Amino acid sequence: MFSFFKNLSFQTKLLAIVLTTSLITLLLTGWISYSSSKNTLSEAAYNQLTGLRNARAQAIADYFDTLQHQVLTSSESGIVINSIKEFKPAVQKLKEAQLSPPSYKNWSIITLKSLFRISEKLWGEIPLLLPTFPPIPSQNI
Amino acid sequence: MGGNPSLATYFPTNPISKYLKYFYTANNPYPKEREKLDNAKDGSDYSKIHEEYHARFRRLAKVFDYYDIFLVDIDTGNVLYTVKKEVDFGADLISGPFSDTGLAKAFQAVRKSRDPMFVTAIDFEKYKPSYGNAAAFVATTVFDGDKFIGALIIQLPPDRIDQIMNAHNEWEKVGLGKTGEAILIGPDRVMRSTPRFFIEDPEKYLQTVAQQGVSPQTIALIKSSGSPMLDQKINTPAAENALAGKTGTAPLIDYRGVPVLSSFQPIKLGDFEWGLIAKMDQAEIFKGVNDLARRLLVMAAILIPLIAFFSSWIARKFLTPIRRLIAATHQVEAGNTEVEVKVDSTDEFGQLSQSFNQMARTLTQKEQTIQTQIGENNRLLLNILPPKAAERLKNGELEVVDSFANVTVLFADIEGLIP
Repeated sequence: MFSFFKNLSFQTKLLAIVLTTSLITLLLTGWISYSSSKNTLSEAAYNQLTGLRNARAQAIADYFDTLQHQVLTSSESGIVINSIKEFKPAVQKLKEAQLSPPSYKNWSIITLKSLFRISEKLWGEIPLLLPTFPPIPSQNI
Repeated sequence: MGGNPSLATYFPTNPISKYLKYFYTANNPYPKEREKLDNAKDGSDYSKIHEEYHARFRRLAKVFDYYDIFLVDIDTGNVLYTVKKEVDFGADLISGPFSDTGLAKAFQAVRKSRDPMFVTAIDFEKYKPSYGNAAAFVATTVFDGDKFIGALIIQLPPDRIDQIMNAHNEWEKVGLGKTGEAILIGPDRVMRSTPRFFIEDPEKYLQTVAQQGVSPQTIALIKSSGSPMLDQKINTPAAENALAGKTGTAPLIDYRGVPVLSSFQPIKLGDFEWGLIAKMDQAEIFKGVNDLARRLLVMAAILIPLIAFFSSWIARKFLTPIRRLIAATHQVEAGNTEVEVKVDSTDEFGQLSQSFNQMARTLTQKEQTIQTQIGENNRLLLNILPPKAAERLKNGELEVVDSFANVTVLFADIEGLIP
């Protein structure tokens, strides 16, 4: 290696020395500034992303908290308590009314298309069974 | 929820459900807005009570932006009332075809708690009665005095979550730049919010994720439901860490196969835990520094030939005095000592040239001295010896001898000459 270098002409040696020195300097400076600014940038980006993340997490948690409080408050309101209290016997009455037993004669096939907007995209047209004749109660409801 | 929904879901089995659905769902005079019907006019007690409360519940749902409100009988598990009158209306949540839905899970949680202050939230799932759209539920107990009478459950659409996560689609305003986004992941690693890139360009999004190995079935599901939410899994380390309850930051390759910087954390909500990931493409974050690197490389490309040119010029400049010296020494070698090297600097090369000149001068002087000395010697020799003998002596004959045929030797002794 060195004997090879020794045999080069002085001009080549000088060229090699100047070129290597200046290139090393250039690359070293470049690399140091690149990596340090990259570090700074990623730190800034992480801070920004963490800030954003915390804000979103807070908003989501608040949304659920608010909902839970709303629902809890509503559950103590008269409208909910009274309606449940009143619906219960009304539904019980329906149950005891001995509605006509399910008979496929009384059912018709309605395509989902008219009723189900999104499911149509999902499954195409699927028959939906719904009563078309009113179930006849055996007693007054 | 796969591609084959069970028909049973839509087929009311219990008589109450059948009755109520006939009047409020199937024969509803407002098929697209069934919540508008206040009284089915079937003459039942139910319809009278319904008319009394429905308008108020409808307003409540509208004001608070609930998708639906359910009142459930805690003893029988019957859905007593809903605002929307979807197929879950009148359903039996304990044993019916709805007993494995999120609504039933919410009901079961309430039933187990028996606590007046109990409230919980059930994670989003594809809810069949809402045409397979995503639905989450918030549920609480309803007590009449000390008597546990029912459950109040509300159904949430995913819209609000998407609005929060995507900042009403104004990503750049909140600092997410051109490629930043925040997404939610459920405990099953499936997305719980719609990713930004899907909202911006669904076609391109589907192409990208298809290249990343998302199955064609999933792609079809995303297409039909209109969002990757609840369809697409995220298997990045950030998702893994967030769901493992860790908070932190990491560089990684995201679900689009793009290098990003990410920040992740878990969120505890109701009875479930989600992961939240905020991330941005590295290409955007490092745009400035990558430009700098590119400029540096361009500069290096320009500088290398310049430096090479400059250094060869310098080398030539250095070598000029040395070349001159070499030429001069060659002359001296050839015998011409009367050479002089031009000196145009005072550096080491200049000093060398100067001392070379001095040396050459000294050599010349010595030469002259020697020549003078030789002339002197010749003259002296000629004084003593005949020119012929002197010539021969000079030519290197140490003993000057000649042979003669006849020699006469004259010997004379002069007395008294030598004292």
